[in-house]
Parts: sequence; C-alpha cells; structure tokens
Amino acid sequence: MQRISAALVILLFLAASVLAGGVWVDRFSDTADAGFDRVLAAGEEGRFADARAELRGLQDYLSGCEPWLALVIRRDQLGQARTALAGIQPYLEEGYWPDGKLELLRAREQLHAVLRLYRQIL
Amino acid sequence: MLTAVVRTAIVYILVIGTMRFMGKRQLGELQPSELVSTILISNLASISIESTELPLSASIVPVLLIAVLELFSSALVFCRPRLGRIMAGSPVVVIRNGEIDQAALRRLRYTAGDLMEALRGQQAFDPTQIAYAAVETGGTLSIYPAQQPEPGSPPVLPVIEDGLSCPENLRLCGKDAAWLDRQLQKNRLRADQVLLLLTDGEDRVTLIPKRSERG
Repeated sequence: MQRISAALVILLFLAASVLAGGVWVDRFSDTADAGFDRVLAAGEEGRFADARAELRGLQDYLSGCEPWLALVIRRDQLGQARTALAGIQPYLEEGYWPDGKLELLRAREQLHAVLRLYRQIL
Repeated sequence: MLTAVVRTAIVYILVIGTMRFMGKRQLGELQPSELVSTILISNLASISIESTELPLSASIVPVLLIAVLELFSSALVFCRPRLGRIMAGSPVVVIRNGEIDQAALRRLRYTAGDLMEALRGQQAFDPTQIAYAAVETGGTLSIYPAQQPEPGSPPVLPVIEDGLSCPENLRLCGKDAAWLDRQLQKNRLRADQVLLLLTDGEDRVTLIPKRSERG
C-alpha cells in the first residue's frame, strides 16, 4: 500500500505541475501581450525610441523565460518566436512604421500559436 | 551534445526508478497491462532523447503517469479480483489426467506443436503423463506430472504434430515412414486426422486423434 500512496502523491504532483504550467504560460502570455501593446501604442504615437526600448524589454523578458518555457513547450518553436521578434527592431522608425506594425502583429500571433501548443489536447 | 548526455542520464534514471517503483511483477512474467505499460514507457523514454527540441516533460510526465496508472490498476485488481479476470483473463486448463483438451487449444490458438514446445520447456515430453497443465494468463504453461519418468528412459518424441510428420524425430526414434504408415493403418486414420503421435522409439506409442470443433 506504500506504493499506492506514493502513486497518489505522484499523480497529485503531476496534476499540480500541469495546472501550474497552465497558469504560468497564461501569465507569460499576458505579460508578453502587455509588452506588445506598449510597443504598438508607442509606435502609433510616433515615439519610436520608446517603442524600441519596449521591444528590447520584451525580448529580454522572452529570453529570460525561454529556458523555463522550454520545459513545457517545444524548444524549436520558442526559438522561432524569439527570432521573429528580433527582426522587428529596424522597422521601428518613422518611415517604416506600417511594416513594423505588421511585423509586430505577426510576431504576437506566432508567440500565441506557440503558447497554444501547451493546451492542445488532440 | 551536452543536452543529449544530460537528457539520456535523466531519462535512464527515470526509467530505472519507474520500473523499480512498479515492482518485481514488472520484471518477471508480464500480464497484458504490464506488457503495454512496459512498451509505452520504453517508447516514451526515447522520445526526448532522440528529439532534443521537445521539452523533457514530454517524456517525464507520460512515463510517470503510466507508472501511476499501472499501480492503480494493479491495486484495483487486488481489491476487485473480477476486474482482474477481465483485464488479464484466467488460466486455461489444456491437459487433464493425461488427456489434451483440444477445444481449449483451439480457443487459445495453441497448436499441438506449441503445446509440445511448452511441455518440453517444463522438462515434460509426454502429455499422457501429465495430470494437469494450464496456460497461465502470462502465457506460460504450468504442469503437474502424474508420474515422473524413470531416469535414463528414452524421451517420448512427437512423430506427427498437427497432422504433419516430423522426420527428424522419426529418425531419432529409429523409425521410418513405413512404420508411421503402419501405425496410421492400425488406427484407421490419415496423418491429417492426427493431433499427436508420440513414441519413445521402443514399444510405447501414443496416438491422439484430432477432434472436431463440436468435440
């Protein structure tokens, strides 16, 4: 019966890990979304220096979280999302804003798609 | 490369720990559910070693979950034996008082050759000398001999199995095709009507005819 108790503890641990992973992925998603919103708002208002700084902050946040996210999400997909984000910096200039906005929205969608992998059941 | 090394070490420790956790039953004769979980664990363990782009949790979580489910199902079977019979089946008696239950063999899809092989694995060569033999749920044959053969006595070998003659055994017994034909004529049977024809090469001959499915 000791093994059954241990099995019950492992099952609870697995359930808690899955739930905690979900909460953590959601929190990461919300923080990243807020970061994207700030970059978009700064770009729309023509504050491109602020937009670039916000984007750098977003990249740093993603880089910091990536090792932990890689525990639950495919490493290659996370790497692609980070690479997509890194290519936006040159577009955050006066004459390139429409392209920059498009690239930002695309990167946001790509990151969402990667995070959705965690909740895919079938 | 470092990733592969670390992952392999982690998965190795995980699988060893899991197999120990599931207990001795897992390492001996396997029941159907145990076989399934062992196959699944071996496949799942290799996933994260082969595909380093996948998170380690893709192996750890399913392996642990399977171990937990296996333990729960064995506990459930312990508490509810009827459930165990559904999951693992029950032993099937194939020989009773030296007589082969051919209907049971058909149900198990066991040929006479399979039966003879399993008997030889138990150091028994003559089914007529077995008081009781049953195919266990794990697929092994357990026997209770009616009497032990005398030491040094020649082994009883099948010269016809499932209607097919065994020329090698015939030669080992010092017999030939003409002798086999005489045995069949004496019993008014064709070879394809014989389940087993056994002989020790001396005066002992046992012929077991095939029975129709209706018995």
